[in-house]
Amino acid sequence: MNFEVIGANIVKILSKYWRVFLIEGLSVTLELAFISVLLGVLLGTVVAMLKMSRFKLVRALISVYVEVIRGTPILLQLYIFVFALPSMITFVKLNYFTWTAIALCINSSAYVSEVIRSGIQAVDKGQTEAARSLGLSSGQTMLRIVLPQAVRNILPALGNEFIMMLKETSLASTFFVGDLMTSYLTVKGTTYLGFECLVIVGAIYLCVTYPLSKLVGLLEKKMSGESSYRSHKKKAKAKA
Amino acid sequence: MKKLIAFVLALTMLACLFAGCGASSTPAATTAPAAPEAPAATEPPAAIKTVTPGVLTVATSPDFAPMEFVDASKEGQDKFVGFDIFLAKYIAEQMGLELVITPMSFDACQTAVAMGTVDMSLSGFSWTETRAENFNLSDYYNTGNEDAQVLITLATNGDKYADAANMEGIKVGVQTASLQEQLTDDQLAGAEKVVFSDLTTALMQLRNGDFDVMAVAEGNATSIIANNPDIALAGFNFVVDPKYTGNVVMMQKGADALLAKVNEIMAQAVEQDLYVGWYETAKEMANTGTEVSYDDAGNVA
Repeated sequence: MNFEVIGANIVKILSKYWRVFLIEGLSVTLELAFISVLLGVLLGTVVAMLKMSRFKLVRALISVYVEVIRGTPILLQLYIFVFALPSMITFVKLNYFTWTAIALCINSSAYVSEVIRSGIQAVDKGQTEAARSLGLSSGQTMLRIVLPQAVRNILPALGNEFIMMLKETSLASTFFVGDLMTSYLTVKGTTYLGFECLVIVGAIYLCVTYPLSKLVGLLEKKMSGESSYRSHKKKAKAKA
Repeated sequence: MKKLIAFVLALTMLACLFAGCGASSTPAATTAPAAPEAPAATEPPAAIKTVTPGVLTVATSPDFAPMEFVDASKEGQDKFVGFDIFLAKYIAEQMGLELVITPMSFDACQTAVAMGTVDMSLSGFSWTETRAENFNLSDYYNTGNEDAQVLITLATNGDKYADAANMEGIKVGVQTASLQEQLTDDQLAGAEKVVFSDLTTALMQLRNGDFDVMAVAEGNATSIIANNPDIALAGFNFVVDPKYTGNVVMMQKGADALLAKVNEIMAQAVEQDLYVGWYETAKEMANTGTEVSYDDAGNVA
């Protein structure tokens, strides 16, 4: 391997194609990850609530949903959403970007629902019992007592989900939706300089995920602090 | 009581789900047998129905210069260029339709055509028996891209691999299920075959010594060598049956009216001798794609 040539090629590629990587590729990757995690959290919350439902049938249906999605590869789900669904649902015309976003959002909802469910179940049962015995309804208990404490467990995990999703959007490049990996495919397709393009794309991914994971680590530390837990407890009790 | 309501609700939900499935599968069931009947009735071109009315949707894998690739200086649909794109534009024009290129990976192109999410795919497809079984394939269009099939190797190897006699036991890289694989089987029977899935990765493998030479179409070899001075022609040419040198347009099985129309348009393009010009333009665009240039010693200038 001639590193001098590779380095020079990288500079040349960047000077010509930096827009393709940094403006088009990166923005689409961030957009896809953001949309899918945001909608995934909303949908995932509903799924988590249904999974803790009183009714056995609802719980069973939701289990099937979560297991099917967690038990099949994302690439397979993308194929289904991009090719199979549009030929069944003919009354809406969506582009590939939207279909991949929907697929990633559904995928993310299954993982997020488990994060939320375990976050909620990690809150001490005594909290619910105390709230209920003080006369709060089950809805109030969930909204005012359990959820605020659960957020502490959930938030850092959601940050990790975002980082995961950021990397998993690369699979959407199968449909050339314009993400970073699509930039790699298009530039190496014209230049036949594959390794150089991989180095560039890898560096960009790392530049985004590293600060994010540091941020998540910081959040984790702050949220798991003993003092904040106590103050939460006090606040919850004061409210009750 | 609540449990009962929930149960009834869940049942209705399930029923809706199945009803949805039923509704979506019925039109498919009725259109499927209708399609092959349309050409039998020899109706005028009105019988051709595209996925989106007024639009010709074409799938392509734009990572294969000079046949189809992306011109990064342009935006939207204009950025897709290459021989296949020019041909697709011509076909759409002649049919009076608007062309929409939908880019996707090579594998996905074939899935998309099979499932009918696009009208056709032009992505440098060669004719193979399996493809002919599962798709409607057009007549050949010949660009010269596949006319000659060659071996490339590291420039430092010189003409070590110019003669088939020297290739007993060496490793030859070939793309999976490609024409080159077939040629290697037939003409370099003494060599060991190593399969790869895409050209750019294969270049890295060639440098790593996974194989000594790799078999490619001459058109691709030119583009590769233009950007990679450490790679050179090995000096060996395969003997190629003209039957395999052309490319075909891929359409869904049963889209016979569309196939007839496409063949008619392509015959017209041949008559007007449009292919050579398109191919030269595409090659020029591909080779000026990067400004990476080299001096005589092969170093980056």
